Amino acid sequence: MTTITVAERHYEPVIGLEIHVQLRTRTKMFCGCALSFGEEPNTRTCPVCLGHPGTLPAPNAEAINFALMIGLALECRLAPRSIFHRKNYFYPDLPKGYQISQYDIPLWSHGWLDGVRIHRVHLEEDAAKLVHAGTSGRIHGAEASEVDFNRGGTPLVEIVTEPDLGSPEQAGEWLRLLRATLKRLGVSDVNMEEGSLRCDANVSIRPAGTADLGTKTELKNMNSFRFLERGIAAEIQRQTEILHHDGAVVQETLHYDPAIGSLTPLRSKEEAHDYRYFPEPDLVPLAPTEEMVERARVALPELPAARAERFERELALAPETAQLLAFRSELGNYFEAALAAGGDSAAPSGAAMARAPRSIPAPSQAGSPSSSSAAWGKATPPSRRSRPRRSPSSSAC
Amino acid sequence: MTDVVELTAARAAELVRAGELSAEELFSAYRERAAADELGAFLWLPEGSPAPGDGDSAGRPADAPLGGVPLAVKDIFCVEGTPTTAASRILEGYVPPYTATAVERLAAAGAPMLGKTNMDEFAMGSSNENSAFGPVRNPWDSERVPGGSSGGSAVAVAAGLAPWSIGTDTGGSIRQPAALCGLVGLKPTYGAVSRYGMIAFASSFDQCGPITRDVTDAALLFRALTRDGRDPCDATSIDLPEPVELPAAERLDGLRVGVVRELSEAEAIEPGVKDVFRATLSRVEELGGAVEEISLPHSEHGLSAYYVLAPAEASANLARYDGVRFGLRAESGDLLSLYERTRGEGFGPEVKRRIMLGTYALSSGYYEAYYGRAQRVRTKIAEAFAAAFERVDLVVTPTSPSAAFRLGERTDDPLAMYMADYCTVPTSLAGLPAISIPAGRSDGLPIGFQITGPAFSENRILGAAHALERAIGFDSSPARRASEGARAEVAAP
Repeated sequence: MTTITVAERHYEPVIGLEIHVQLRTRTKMFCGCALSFGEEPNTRTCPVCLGHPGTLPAPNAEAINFALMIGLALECRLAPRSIFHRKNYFYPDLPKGYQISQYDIPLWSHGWLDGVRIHRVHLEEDAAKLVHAGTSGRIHGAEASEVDFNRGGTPLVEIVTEPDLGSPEQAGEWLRLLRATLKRLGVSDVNMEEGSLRCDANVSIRPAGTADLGTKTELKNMNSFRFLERGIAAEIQRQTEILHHDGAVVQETLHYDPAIGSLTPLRSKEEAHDYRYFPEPDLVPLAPTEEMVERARVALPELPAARAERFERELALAPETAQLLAFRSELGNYFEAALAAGGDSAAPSGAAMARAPRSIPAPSQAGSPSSSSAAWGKATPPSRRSRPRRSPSSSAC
Repeated sequence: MTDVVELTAARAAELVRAGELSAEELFSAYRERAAADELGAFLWLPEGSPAPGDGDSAGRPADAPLGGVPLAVKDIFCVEGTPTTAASRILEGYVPPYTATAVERLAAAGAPMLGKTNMDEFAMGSSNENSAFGPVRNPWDSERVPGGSSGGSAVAVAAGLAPWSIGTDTGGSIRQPAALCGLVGLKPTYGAVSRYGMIAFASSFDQCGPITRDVTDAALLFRALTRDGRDPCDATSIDLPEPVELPAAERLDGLRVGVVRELSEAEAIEPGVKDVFRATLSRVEELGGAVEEISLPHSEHGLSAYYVLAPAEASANLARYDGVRFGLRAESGDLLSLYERTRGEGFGPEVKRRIMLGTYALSSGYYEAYYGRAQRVRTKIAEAFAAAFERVDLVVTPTSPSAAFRLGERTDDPLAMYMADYCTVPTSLAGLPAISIPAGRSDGLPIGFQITGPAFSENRILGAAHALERAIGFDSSPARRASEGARAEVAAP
């Protein structure tokens, strides 16, 4: 634990993370549309993911399988029957006016990864993407807003940790391990800049050595490891100063601005939600069979934490070196290939690192989504102009 | 061809198959009658004959199980390329890009769509007076309502403007209009018929089913709706445990029939309805059935639970009508006023009332007291039915507490309107199948008899209904004749 000392008072930060992982399935969570990787806006849509009257969600078996793999990798406890709920709120990026998510009974709970407890793991659908014209970059004050429904309905797994992290650096390190784990599972592109891995942080501080949690704030929009660590550090600093001046931390959601490194409260209007959760009547409870769980278990590869431990144990590598190799699977693969070819495991890392970038194919870059307004037509959602079409790979519904 | 209108759909299909009647002529005859409709039953009719691509029927109607006999479709079913409004201004001009599974399956089985029928807006109502496009009049008495919400589908069949129709039933929306119009209406077990493409009112209740002149026609449509098994597009749909049989029973020997005390003797039930109900119970005994009184505990609370749960689901189901992607859009300066103006102008008063009721019932701090409690009542009622079916094979009640009431009589009193669902709602809460058959008349108006069975007992229900139907011998022809005369005096709404 990091301890901050201000005027003879000692504080320690308490940090929990909420991670959204876009799954790399062939199709969306509840319809047959192929996932989008930077296609023209509103070309990966159908009546279901546009929320047309009369349409119904049909759950994606591959997404359920990926979610099972994630829960197994995080050593979670499976709910025999988990329930999908409707989370109700009006927003243009939410075509049905509710998001299908899980609420009081998530698919997985009580997990563990490298000393950090996992509170829950659940399945849900992503919202569409809004682009706001104008200087604010937010819907308030925008001249016009445009909706790209390609992303809407992409399968998401939400992973929530317990508040077990003690410093910005530890949070960053742990998220890197989680990212490596998810990448090794092959269930996601886990790219923070592109949004296939998104992380919010709950941050509070308390007098060092005490057990009660202080008032927490929620930090959003930290779309890189660097910003995550900087955002948490800035928030710890802010809360410390408040307490130092005998103020009280207010529970609120803060938006991180990477350009200036500052945290601003989201307008209360955007936050004052009563989501009116209730069980989604269009879906039956999710009750994975033993066969489904077994199939997911068999599909699990050796995970980074286990690989690092093996490198330490079998090859007597230093923990930092072992993790460096294990958490970047391409480096680890290169290292093991070199070993197999008769290399020396005693001094591996320097040479491997130096050569790696040239000899290892760069991670594939998904095209970045077009933000060109020209293709879209102002203020008129494209779906009004062109009939939604089914993507070639979509099923009948 | 003047008397094709007097044929049941099954009989017409037989004649088509035998080559004695052409499907095209049948369609034109009904299209002509439907076009002259002055009762307000239809919201949309095609320009000409069935469009090519209406399933098998376009090619060889004689080979198709439903013989090319045209079908009136409640305007709650999405049909590709055809305006679909759910009788709401908010969907005026909406043309769906896809077709509901139910319509697709019936067309493929040889029942091409004749037209789209009027209804209460988003299926919310029991009189068809909540349509944004005007009420529907009952052919038995054009000053009276046909019931709702599938009022247009019922009147189309009752007045001989269509051979048969499909509607949807959430709390009685097939059975009650069938009862008030002297027809057969079947609400299948929840999950038996796909809901894909059926505009949602309350998803855990909504079921599609037939409204027909007789029990055999209902069985034919139900069989075609379920023949292809569960629909992968509807996660709540299931395969029937046994194929649908065409009913042949003429006796009820050995059948134990339970009369629900709470739903048959209640004060809310009109004396004329009670008279017809008791006479029908005598018929049951004459046919060899054993009638016994049973209690269905908590069923008297069904209406209260229903009017919490259905609006709660509706409040979420109707959130998608926001002016962003389809339907009405009231142009506005900012997002909030776009929502407020679009929904303010697009929804009628009853729909707004239910959205508010449902939003309240789900809101933080009230969820347990309303939604949670209503769910427990729902469970209790389902358990009460299960207990009843330990003792009896079928459960019977009147379908509606009253015969058709006058237009405008209950429009200012929502609670009086909700009472129309008193006998039908408990079955809906339990997700069970139920049929309403015409059992007689009171002051000239048809009275319905409701038969409920355990889940997936449609064959048993249809069989009993068939035997009773033959014994009762209800004559539905006056409504078809009356509609001819009504044209002169009733202005189209």
